[in-house]
Amino acid sequence: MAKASRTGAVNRPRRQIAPYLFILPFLISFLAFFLMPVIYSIVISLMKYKGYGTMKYVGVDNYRRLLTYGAMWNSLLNTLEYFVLGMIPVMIFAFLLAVVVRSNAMARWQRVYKPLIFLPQVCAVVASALVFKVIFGTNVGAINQVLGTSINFLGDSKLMKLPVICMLIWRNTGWYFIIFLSGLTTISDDLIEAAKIDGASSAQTMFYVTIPVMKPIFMLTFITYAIGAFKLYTEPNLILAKEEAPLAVAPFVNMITTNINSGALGMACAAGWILVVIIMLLTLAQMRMFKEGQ
Amino acid sequence: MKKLLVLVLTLGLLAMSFGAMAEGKVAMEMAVWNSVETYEQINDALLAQFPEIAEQADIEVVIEGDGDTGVAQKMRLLLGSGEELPDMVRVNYAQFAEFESAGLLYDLSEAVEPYKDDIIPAVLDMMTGEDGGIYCLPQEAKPKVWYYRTDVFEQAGVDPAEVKTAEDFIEAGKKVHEATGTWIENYGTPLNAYDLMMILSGKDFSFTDENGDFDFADNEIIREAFERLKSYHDSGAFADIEEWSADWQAAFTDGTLSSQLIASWMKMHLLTWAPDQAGLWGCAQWPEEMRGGSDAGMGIWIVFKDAPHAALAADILAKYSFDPEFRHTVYSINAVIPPLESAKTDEFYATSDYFDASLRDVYFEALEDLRAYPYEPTFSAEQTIIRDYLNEYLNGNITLDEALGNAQADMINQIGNAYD
Repeated sequence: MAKASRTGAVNRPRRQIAPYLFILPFLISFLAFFLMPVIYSIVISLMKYKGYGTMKYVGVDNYRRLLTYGAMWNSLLNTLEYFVLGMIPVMIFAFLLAVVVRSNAMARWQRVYKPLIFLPQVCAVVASALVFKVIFGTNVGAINQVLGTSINFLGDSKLMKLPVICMLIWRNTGWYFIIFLSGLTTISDDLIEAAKIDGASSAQTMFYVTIPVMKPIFMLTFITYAIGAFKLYTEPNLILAKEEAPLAVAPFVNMITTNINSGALGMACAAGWILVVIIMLLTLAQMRMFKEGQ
Repeated sequence: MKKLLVLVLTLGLLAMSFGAMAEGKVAMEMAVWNSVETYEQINDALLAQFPEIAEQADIEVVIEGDGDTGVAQKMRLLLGSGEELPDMVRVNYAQFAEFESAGLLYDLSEAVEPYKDDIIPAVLDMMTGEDGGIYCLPQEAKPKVWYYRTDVFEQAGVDPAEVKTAEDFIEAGKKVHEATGTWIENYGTPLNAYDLMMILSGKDFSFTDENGDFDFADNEIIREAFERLKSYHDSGAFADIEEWSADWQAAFTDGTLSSQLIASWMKMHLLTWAPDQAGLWGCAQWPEEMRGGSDAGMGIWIVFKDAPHAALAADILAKYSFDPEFRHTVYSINAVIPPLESAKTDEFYATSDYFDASLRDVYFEALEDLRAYPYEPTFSAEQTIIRDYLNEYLNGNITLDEALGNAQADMINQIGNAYD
């Protein structure tokens, strides 16, 4: 008994270390490739630094300069506009498509519709953006040719966001459709049948059973969409410019890239951290909204 | 079977690398943007023409960005991290000041010495750094030239040589449009910054004073340049087409645009976009009062001091840029005329299937007055800010005073001092 106890005492530390050994590769990579760069970027955000040469400590001056820069707030508003005007139709289309494809009437054709609707996600974003640039062209664009007009979608600052939003809707609908579809498949058929037996109409089943059960899925999609939307970069810059979109329609990420291209790494890091804070606040607000709803 | 295949491949690769080492060759990297094909063709020709280089080096062309700013940024990251730098780096003259003023570039004087007397003085001047050393080589010197459709201008009765002022240019635009339905320029917004820089580079001025403090809002030259672009934009004499849009390319292809007041680099695009118009294009000087300068000076090659094979890279790039015989090969691949005195009278450059005989002579005449804006290390940020206020002004959303004042305020806010 004493021997067994002694062996147990010897093995206990080993057993305690074992799980840590298993997660050690992850921990090392997490420290090296995530935590260290994160800390380093906070340090750089307090410096004037080109990426080489000496760093000059400037305190919170980079943050102050950005927060007092009208174009930064404008780019933030632009991003919010791309986010809201893109998200509403994407969520509605994706959910409706998922409901339709999930319905018994369409069950046979799921294999056809699912890949078709998902297809825009698979297309390379650069190629898609160039196609949208052509579609919305003033003289050669398909839309203007069909309408017989010469609307300057890509040059008029009041209209320039439209091609970008159209592309965001086109690209993102398929992705969220798949998420909603997988969410719908988790709803038990018994639940739907019970609602029907209780006399619920299709609309009542949708609003009182399906949508409430899908709430965690909605939360997930809204949060992931918001995070993605605030990191928007490729679509507006490729559709609206050769390199970087004009500040009037530029997304927030351009604050980072413009500073990187100008060799102002400190400002770029500060802009990055402002973006992190905005995304965190938005995510917390969304989580709180859903919590209150529940 | 799979294992055997992997073994054979591994041994093959090892043998190849040992083979290369045994021959004493070094692996060199050439950093460019967008695509590698043209550079690879030129490098293959270079190694064929200069066996002594082929014996020493293998050159791999690598894409390091989607534009000159992308390549410059990659270089900053490599410099910052201490990683190995490419041996030869293609950027634009706008990035030269940053790296040169930081003392990061290899002095190419020795490699350039054999060709020095043959280089056009204005180009040599731009290649020369503060301390008198040579720190960049021209990939393409890009003076301002006016490409135009000879048949269209003849039909409209417009002679580019008679277009001397900005007002003449507007009148010519109206005349050509009335007579032929084509446009001689496009000033659709958003306008590119180079449209402004082409006007400004001909003048001797800077956005900052000698200490690097921004002196922008009250500068008469900038005010005039903004006003001139506004007069073009509002004149109705030019097409409302944005450059680099699908419409722009299509407008050359279908003949909607019959001329372009731009820099010499445009010829490559004309060859690609409007191949059916071969023999119809001519080349002229800009209107007299707007001559001199360029859009961005030059496309350049630089070699970093810390590049692994800096001396060999300098030697290769000097031949690449200035060897008169090799430049014939380069011209047949990318249509770039070398900025050499000897090329002025070289009949090889006088022949073109696409342009009339004016191309070479106009290019060299414009090259005599090649000037670039004296780029500050922070030019990229300045350009972004200025371009946006310029476009707001052109679209009538703000007044000229607001455009200039706000641009200055933003530059002070975002950049502070251009040399700090």
